[in-house]
Amino acid sequence: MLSPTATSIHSFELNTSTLAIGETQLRAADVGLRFGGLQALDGVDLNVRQGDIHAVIGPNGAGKTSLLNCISGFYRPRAGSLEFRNRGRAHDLVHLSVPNIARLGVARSFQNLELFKHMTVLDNLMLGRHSHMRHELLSSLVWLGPARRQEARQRALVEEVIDFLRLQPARHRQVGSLAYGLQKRVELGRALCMQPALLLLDEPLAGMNAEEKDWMVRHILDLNEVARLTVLIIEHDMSVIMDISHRITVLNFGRVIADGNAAGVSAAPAVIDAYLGVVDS
Amino acid sequence: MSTLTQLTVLGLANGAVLALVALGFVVIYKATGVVNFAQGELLMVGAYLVAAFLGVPGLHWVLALVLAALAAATLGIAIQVLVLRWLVGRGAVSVIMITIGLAACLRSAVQLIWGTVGQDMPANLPGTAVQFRGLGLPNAIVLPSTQLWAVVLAAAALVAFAVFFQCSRQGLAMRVVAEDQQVAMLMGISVRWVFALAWALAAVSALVGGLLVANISGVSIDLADFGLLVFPVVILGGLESIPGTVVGGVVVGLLSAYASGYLQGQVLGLSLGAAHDVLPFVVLVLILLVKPYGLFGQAQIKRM
Amino acid sequence: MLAPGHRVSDRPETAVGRRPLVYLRMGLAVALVAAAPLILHTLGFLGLVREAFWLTVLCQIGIAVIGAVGLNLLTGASGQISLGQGGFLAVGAYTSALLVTRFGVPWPVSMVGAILLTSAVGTFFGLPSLRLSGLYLAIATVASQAIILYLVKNWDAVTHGVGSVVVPRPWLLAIRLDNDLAWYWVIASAAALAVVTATNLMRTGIGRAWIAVRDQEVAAAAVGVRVGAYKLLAFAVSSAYVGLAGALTAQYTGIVTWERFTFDVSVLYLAMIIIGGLGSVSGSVYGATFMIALPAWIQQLGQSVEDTFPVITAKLPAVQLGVFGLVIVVFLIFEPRGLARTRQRINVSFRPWPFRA
Repeated sequence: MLSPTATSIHSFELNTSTLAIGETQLRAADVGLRFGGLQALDGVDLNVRQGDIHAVIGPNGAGKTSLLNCISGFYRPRAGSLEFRNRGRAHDLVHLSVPNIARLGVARSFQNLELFKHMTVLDNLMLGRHSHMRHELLSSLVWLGPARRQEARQRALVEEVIDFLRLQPARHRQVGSLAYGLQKRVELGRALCMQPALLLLDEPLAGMNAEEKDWMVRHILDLNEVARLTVLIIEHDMSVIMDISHRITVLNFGRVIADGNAAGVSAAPAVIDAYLGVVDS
Repeated sequence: MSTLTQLTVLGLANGAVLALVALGFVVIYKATGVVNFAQGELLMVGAYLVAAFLGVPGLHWVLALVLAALAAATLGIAIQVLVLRWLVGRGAVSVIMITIGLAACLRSAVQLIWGTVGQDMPANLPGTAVQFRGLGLPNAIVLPSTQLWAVVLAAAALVAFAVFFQCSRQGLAMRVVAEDQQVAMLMGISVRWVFALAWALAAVSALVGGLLVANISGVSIDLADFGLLVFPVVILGGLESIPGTVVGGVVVGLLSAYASGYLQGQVLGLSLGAAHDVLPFVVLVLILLVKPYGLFGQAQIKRM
Repeated sequence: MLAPGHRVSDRPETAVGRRPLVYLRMGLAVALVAAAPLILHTLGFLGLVREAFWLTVLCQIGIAVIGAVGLNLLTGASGQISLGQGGFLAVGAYTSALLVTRFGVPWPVSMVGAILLTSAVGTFFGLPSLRLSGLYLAIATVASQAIILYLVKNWDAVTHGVGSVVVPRPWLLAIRLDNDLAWYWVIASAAALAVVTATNLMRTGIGRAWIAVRDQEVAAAAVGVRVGAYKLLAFAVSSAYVGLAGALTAQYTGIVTWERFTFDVSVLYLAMIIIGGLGSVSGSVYGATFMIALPAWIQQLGQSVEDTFPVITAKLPAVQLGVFGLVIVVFLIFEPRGLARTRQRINVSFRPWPFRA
């Protein structure tokens, strides 16, 4: 039986990046971040190309999530620059607020699942559509007319994401009551509803069993191969990373110790040192 | 000149009492995480309890105070054990609301038992007005002994609390629970006991405050209004330290006193006579706009 | 583009509209509100209740519903704790009263003026919410209540200070609004409007964004919600409803005094939405009804035993206060999600009947 693929999402453009495949989409140059006495990131360079699955790996505490948080706008780096190219312009992410960066097309999932636990799956996904909707007080107060039509339209798009991620049975259930694996899927779905240009995934496979992981990886690959969506992913599962990534950046103690394709990175002595031989090809 | 001194002493007296009441509030907040909107009512109940025990014929006033304090402590413990223990882990709104509900119950109980007409506090602390002559001043300054006692006793109570928290085992246990409840439990500290102790201390400190204020202005339902002034004190001094609470109390007390003495007349038709009541709140808003966690508070960090 | 009302797909569970049962319940509610005066009249005729007294109570409930709905949008849906309700009611009431008495503005226009000004004042006092939350925000709203009340009591030139502003009885078309029955229809219509618009708001992206800001500010920002703007919007919209409630109070009772807008009133409204159900529009209705009807009922009881126990009448305010406190404490311990949740529970327990095993 054919499972729905990213091609089944046809009502709207899933990938809103305006760049051609291979062009530099996100460029981090010499990024530095400090928390009190702790140097979380030090001189980090990163080049993410449109259409790549770009992995960021490293031991715990290496600064991977901090890097993602800088890109999203939650942290402001003390040094360096973060440039995001979309819609014909280069945007300086360091000086933009979190909502504005999200509206540029940067969508993400979180390590600790930041879902709206008291809302239904549907409402969580509809919130992903927030920046694509017009929120007018007057028409919202009245409901009948433009507001209702907009809700119906957006529902149509969200339903396709629900189909793609197989969330139909959970549609009206409170997210807080779902199994962990399902919650992870909802978070991915919410990011997809944002029609991202760049998808940031922070440990999307953590806590899943082999079957769930397999399912999730297939869908991520689908998004990348069919919709040509750029994915910047943090993960600990080395076999998966080596398998699917076009580019890998390795962090340790806030610094980049290797950067390249899977073969190159797994052979780098610095990486082997950091992982003590855990890398498996 | 004499007015300045009188206002200063009045301000210090009120401030000392405020610091005492705010201390109880802070103790509850730090140990249990509960925002106690009933602190003013505890002050009022304390004053009524003292008045009631002092009214018992043949009872020495010191003994009366001790018995009243015990009654207040029991009330505090009862609140924690019978009501608040069911609200562990609830949202801020619910917890605030339940202390407001308790405040209403306390006020209602006081009205039902003792009626709505105020009364004078029966004689307790010795002394009448104290006069200061000389010092190069043209007239003698008359300072009511009630205010002087307020400053002295409140200061003594605050020092006693500070010593308790720093030096005694129970005080240490409370500080551990305030820091991290789980660690406290792992160390064998009975968190429920600490919670009860926090409420008992808050009730007793409110009672002392109530006694001192009622000596100055009588025993009535209006004493509960003192409770709202806790907030400017706590925002000024921060929720973290006893010295901060003292500073906050003294500043608010002095500010209020000076305002009542010097702010008069009208501005654009707005009469300033009652400004001393609202000035602490204006200061509170101004402080919060600049320092959202209070003057000495610590920002809270979230891990993502 | 989909035509309005068109099913999103052919699957019924994807419909945007409501199930027919919900419309039935709404119809029943409307019928009940419309028939209330008649029901009251019948009961009064049978000697069971004092009709005039309870008609007044119904009018008070209607106004309270509007205020509670507003507060629930702010505290329940958006998570911004506000203890400044009394102050905002005062702004609405005084604005409407003064526009009519001082500037001769027609009273419907004065209501609009009250709504707009209260919304502006509410937004101003909502600015702290951009930096504060939880306890600190609650404290800031207590301060705003104290400041507004001080201005009301001491700005003699504007508000007559501790005196009162008397508002003449208004005219609606050809009818003089000087009796409770006429006011009942006006107030009920306004309350219905408030309930419908608030429910609509919660169904759209604005309501969703508010709940998102309440539950997870971080994630809300990450999906593009401008958190600060939505917090201020919550204050603005909520205060608009409260301004309407205040303006109606001024016009309905005819007298505006500071005693109606104290901290106790803020507490009363907070109790309404907590007992009714935080974040639920229907909960606001239940809570407002309960918190106004209960003291009224106690008052009736007190008056009926006045002859046998005269001491009760003197103690009545204290008894009302005590019951108020007890109700809050009991609800928060046993039914923390309020009457709206109780109603859900009743629904659920009835659903399988008569097919229960």
